[in-house]
Amino acid sequence: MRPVLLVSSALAAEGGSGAPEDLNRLRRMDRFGRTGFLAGMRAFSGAGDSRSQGTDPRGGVIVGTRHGCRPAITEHATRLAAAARVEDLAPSVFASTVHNSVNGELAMALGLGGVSETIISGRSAGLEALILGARRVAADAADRVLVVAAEGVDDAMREAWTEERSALGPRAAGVELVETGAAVLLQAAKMEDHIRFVEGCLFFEPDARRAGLRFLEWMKGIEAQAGGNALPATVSLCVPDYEDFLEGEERRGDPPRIERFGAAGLYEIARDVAARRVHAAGEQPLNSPSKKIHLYVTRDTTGAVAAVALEFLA
Amino acid sequence: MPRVVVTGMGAETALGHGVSAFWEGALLGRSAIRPVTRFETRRFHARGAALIDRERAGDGAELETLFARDAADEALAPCPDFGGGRAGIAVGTTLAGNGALTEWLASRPAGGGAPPRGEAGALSRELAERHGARGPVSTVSVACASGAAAVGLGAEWIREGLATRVLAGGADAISPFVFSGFDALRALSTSAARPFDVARDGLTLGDGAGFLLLEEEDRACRRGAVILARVTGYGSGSDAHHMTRPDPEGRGLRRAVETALVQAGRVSSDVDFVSAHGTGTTFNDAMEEAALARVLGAKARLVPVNGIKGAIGHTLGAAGALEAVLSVLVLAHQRVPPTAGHTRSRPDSPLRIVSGTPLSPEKPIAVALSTSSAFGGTNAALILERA
Repeated sequence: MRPVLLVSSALAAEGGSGAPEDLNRLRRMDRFGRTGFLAGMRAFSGAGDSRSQGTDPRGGVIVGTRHGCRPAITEHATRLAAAARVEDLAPSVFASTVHNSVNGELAMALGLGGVSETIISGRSAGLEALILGARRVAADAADRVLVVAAEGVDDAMREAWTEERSALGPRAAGVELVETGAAVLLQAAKMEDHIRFVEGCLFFEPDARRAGLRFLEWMKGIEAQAGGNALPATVSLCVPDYEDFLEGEERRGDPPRIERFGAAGLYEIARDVAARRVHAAGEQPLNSPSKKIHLYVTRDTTGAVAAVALEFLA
Repeated sequence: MPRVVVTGMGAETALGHGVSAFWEGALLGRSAIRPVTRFETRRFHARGAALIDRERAGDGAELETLFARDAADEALAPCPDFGGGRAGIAVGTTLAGNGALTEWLASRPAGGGAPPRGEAGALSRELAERHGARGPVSTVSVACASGAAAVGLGAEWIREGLATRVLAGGADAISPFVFSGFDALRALSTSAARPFDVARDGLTLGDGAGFLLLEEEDRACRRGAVILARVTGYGSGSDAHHMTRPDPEGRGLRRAVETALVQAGRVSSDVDFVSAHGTGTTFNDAMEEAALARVLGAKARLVPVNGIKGAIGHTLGAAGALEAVLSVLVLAHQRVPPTAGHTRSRPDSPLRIVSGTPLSPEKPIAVALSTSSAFGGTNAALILERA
């Protein structure tokens, strides 16, 4: 298996705009598409890669999302409810009602003709996409993979989140849903001053305590490998059983107060990478410069867990 | 690296309940395409689909969930102790959850209550709960290639040691949402899908679910399981061309097939049978002809090809999984079903479409290729081999 490096990362905020050559493309996308596309494009250009004139069969796109193209689905369904005849519908909207729309748009814009996969496994989808992307590079199925996690939030989704939050109980009170796009570029080439994908962990365990034990067992293995050089896990858990999941883990900190659905885990990674770049540029000190291994975990309310260990080199 | 074998299969299609009904209907060249009665079609140009005669369950479960439960139960029947920390679930779907959202949006002006919290990804977790899987559990959604991608993902988990058993497949149910969308794109046949036929005029949608029980070969042998076939290769490739129109040269599909062949340690001349995506649209079938002609070379005119969508319709997220099930059946029975709806290929077609009656090939079928292509330009290919 080849070593896998994370060479670039990016975040896309609500209302972001793209390059002039992408305006037509962005116009036909829904909020999920735009958010994921912009994050992906920024991560790609952040690595210093330029758009290919031809198609790179060794470059791919892997996306993780919980709700994916739900904004486009909502729009098509709304149009359908009002349509007297099929001509009242917009074919271009229906064409966006596939969860791999971000894969297609990025592949076209960047000439990435290799692997194309989309994971929609709830809150763990983003980290699961990262694990899958790393496996594709490690196994020589691709030389570079753009991993994107995105959630586009429309009014219907906000309404649904309000209902869901109520059902999650008092510990979820006040947790806000935020539209998020995050992306990283994985490569196989040996480069210094980058971040190495160490290991991923994926399992399903509805019982929070048992899930916590499995995660902590995996985490201790990583810490042992790192010789005490691992940072506490960055936890993206907007779930009511947060304390149960991390029972016995003294370093758990406070649960997050922002819900990013499937983009959560990759968002934390992209944020940390950005902070590291700012630190490397000498602009401000890094909060945690001494530890090399960073751990990230997401857990869905239904029990899906995805965790990732990254080594911050040099 | 562990080898991956198929030890169980399940199928729910409009041809009937179970793998036997699917295989018998396919061999007879039956088409299950009928006028739609599940919902009103007066607004649309097309009228037909291959739908399973079933109603929602009392627990409110959507149709795709019911199809998935039944197909999964059948696939797992030979393995009653499935479950635990080394058991995984990989599901492909395009539409799961859309029906409930569509209904809620339609009823909202009249005070349609709380919005549905369901999500497409819930399907794999529902099956994990039902069957006690505590290993990797994932839902893949790459439009019409979802089922094949899920089977490929499940096989990889076993090869990489993440799981020893994986229930892998796909499920979808047809609703006004998807019927209207394809009709708006003018992609639906006004009669019935005729894959690779000279007079084809579009696809026909269908309900379906297909699942395979994948196992690490040594473990399956130790428990005395009947090995139906091997999954040896999976490949994914992107057209990077257009969101809905396939690349006319089929370059993304070619890349997927070539990747799958490399993973299987095979070359294109090893392929003895193709279960084609074959939607029956002008553009898809032409793309697939171009891609397969290029990959298979001179052998393209010799390799028997089946397009099952003429029988069961385009089952979307289930299609790749059901076509994998069909491939296993062809490998096991050494017979290739005819392509329902196909009577005559265009004169310069490079492919050998099996038509009219089942084919018992002159040489044994040892290696099967199953192809899938999707909106977003995503393509997937599976290589399955005789046990």
